[in-house]
Formats: sequence, structure tokens, C-alpha cells
Amino acid sequence: MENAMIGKSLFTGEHVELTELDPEKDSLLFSTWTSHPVFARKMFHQPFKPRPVSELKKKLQEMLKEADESHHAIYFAVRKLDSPDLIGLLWFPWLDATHQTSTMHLSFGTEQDFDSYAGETLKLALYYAFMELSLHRVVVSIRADEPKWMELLEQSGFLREVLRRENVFSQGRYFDEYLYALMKSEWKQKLSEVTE
Amino acid sequence: MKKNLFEGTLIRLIPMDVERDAEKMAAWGRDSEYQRLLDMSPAVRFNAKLVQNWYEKAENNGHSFMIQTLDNDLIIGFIELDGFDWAAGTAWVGIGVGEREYRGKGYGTDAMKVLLHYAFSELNLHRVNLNVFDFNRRAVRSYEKAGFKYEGTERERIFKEDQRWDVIDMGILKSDWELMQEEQLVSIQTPVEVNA
Repeated sequence: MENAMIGKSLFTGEHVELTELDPEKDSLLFSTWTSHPVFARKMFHQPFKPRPVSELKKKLQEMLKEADESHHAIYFAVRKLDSPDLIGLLWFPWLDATHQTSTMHLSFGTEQDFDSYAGETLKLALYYAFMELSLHRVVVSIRADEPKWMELLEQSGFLREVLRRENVFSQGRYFDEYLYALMKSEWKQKLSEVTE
Repeated sequence: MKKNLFEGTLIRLIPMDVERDAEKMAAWGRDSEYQRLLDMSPAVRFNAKLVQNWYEKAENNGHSFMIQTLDNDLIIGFIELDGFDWAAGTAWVGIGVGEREYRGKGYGTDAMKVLLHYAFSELNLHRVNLNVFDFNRRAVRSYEKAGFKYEGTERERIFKEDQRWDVIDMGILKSDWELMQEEQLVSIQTPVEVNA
């Protein structure tokens, strides 16, 4: 039988690549992202505060070390194939091996990079989640005011399972939060529809 | 104003004292059904020292109480708030009634009501979250009685006993809780039977 792992890259897409995160090189750009409340909340689960580059570098190093030791978390820096600059971050903050599930976060530094690369990156991310991490389901949580995300997730087969009323506070008001989930079986079904 | 903030109709909440309570909590763990209803992590046996260490580490973040019966001062379970987002005013609640003969008799519901009173009237929380396994119908009913509303179902979220099970998400907003207090006030003015 043909081995589908041979000759296939999990990390390389048409325009983007899932690469290693490098605190030395990436912290500077990263610090501008963590000045954004939505990103900072997903990343740190703490009340929002901008962080200086030096602190962020340390924090990233700690996160990577913990991920390596615990095997519970995985981080990827998303970069364009032809440029070393970071355009996005993909991470699985807590892999639940017993139940084969995980939350997945994907964030881009600019709106423009989201528009150009989010779809392609999500495809890579889902392939990795289901075919390498062997997850049964993947969950993405978004705020109710992220319509582009909502559209992309729904196009990709995700189902909105949970609406947490007024669970997020930012810019002086409360936002609802949605939990979107995709099962491996649904993802496979969707893939076969696309290729047929 | 409520006379004793931490007293309900059947129970009172007392601060968890790990030196006093760790033995008891470790002993409840012998009941694997209890563990499987309480938590999605694999059921294990923790000795009292490990339970104590765990709580001492978590102490600064969580608000943990033991549930004590009013009629005979027996400690029958625990309830706690953790995972606080103080900017949004949100937290997660967990509850366990370790003493079998006190399950399904309104003690847990009473404890939850007392805790919510504390959460909304003293901690000024905006919202309290919880997860409950779909097969734990008794708990779902108890949470509904305490004022929680259904917010969605995470499909096949856990895998136990060679089968996948859904997890239900529930939440209560301060405004839900306030409305409930007003309704109860109205019902107290007209003589009706009080349900625990």
C-alpha cells in the first residue's frame, strides 16, 4: 500500500509555511501584536496589558520550554514561503490526549495577511490537527464581532456549538463568545466533497 | 440584606482548609463514579498530601469552599470558583458532593445558590460558567434550578467507557441572577411550598 506520509509536507502550503517560533527573532514583531487586546487575551488569558519586547522574549521562551516538557502545547510561527517575517501564529494551547480534542488558536498580525493567508493556513492547521495529532475534534473560540472568522470557519465545515453570552469584555463593552467545533469525520467529508 | 452570606437552607459554605479537608477529599476519590461525574481527567487515586499540595499551589487563584450540612455539621462536598477573568468579571464553578447519601437531595443546589450569591453580590462577577457531562442529568437539573441557562453542546467532547459523550455548556449572568432574586421575593410574599 502506498504510504501517504512519504513525499508530503505537513508544514508547507502554496504560499505559507508553518515554522518554528524563534523568541530571539520574533519577539519584536510579536510585541506589536500583543498590544492588541483580542490577541493578547487569547495568548495570555490575563487582563490585557501591553508587554515590552524583553519581557515577551522571556515569556515566549518559557512557553516553548513548557510545551516541550509537558507535550501539552504546540506552537507554530506562520511565515510566507519567500520571507522570514512572521505573519501569524498557530497554537494548540492544551492538547487533551485522553479525549483526543484540543482548542486551536490562529491569529494574524494584519487584516491583510488574514485576508490573503488565513484560508490556506487553516487548511494546513486542520490537516496537522487531524492527521498528525490524531484529534477527534478541534475547537476554535471567537468573539461575536469577528465576522470574517465566522465565515471562514463555517465555510470550512465548523459548527457553532456554544454561545457564551457576554463572556468577553473589551473596548468598554461585553461581547458574546462562540465556540466552533469540527469533527475529524466532518473534515474528511468536506475534503472528499472538494476533491470530487 | 442576607443575614449570613454563606448560609443556605440546608448547608453553609466554609473556607476549604486543606490541612483539615485533604484526607476527606482523597477518600471521596475512592468512589470512581464520583470522579467520573466530577472531572474529565482520567480517574486516579491521589493521596491526601498530593491533594493538599495541589490546593496550596492553586490557593491564590481559586475561591474554594467545603459544603457543610446545617443540621449535623457534616462536610459533604466542595464548591469552588476559579479561572477568573477579572476584567470581564467571569469565572468557572466546580462542585462535587463526595458523600453519596447526600446526592440528589438538594444540598448541591443549595450550595450553588449560596455560591452564586457570593459571586454576584460580593465579588461583583458579571458571569459564571460551567461545563457538565450530558449523562449527568441530575447535575443539569440542579444547575437549572440554581439559575444557569443552557448555552450549547460540545459534541463528543469526552471519551470514556469506550464511548464518546457530549458536554453541555451553561452560564448565568448577573442580570439572570438578579431577575431570579426578584421573582423569588415575589413568590415568598405569596405563601407557596419552598423547594430546596
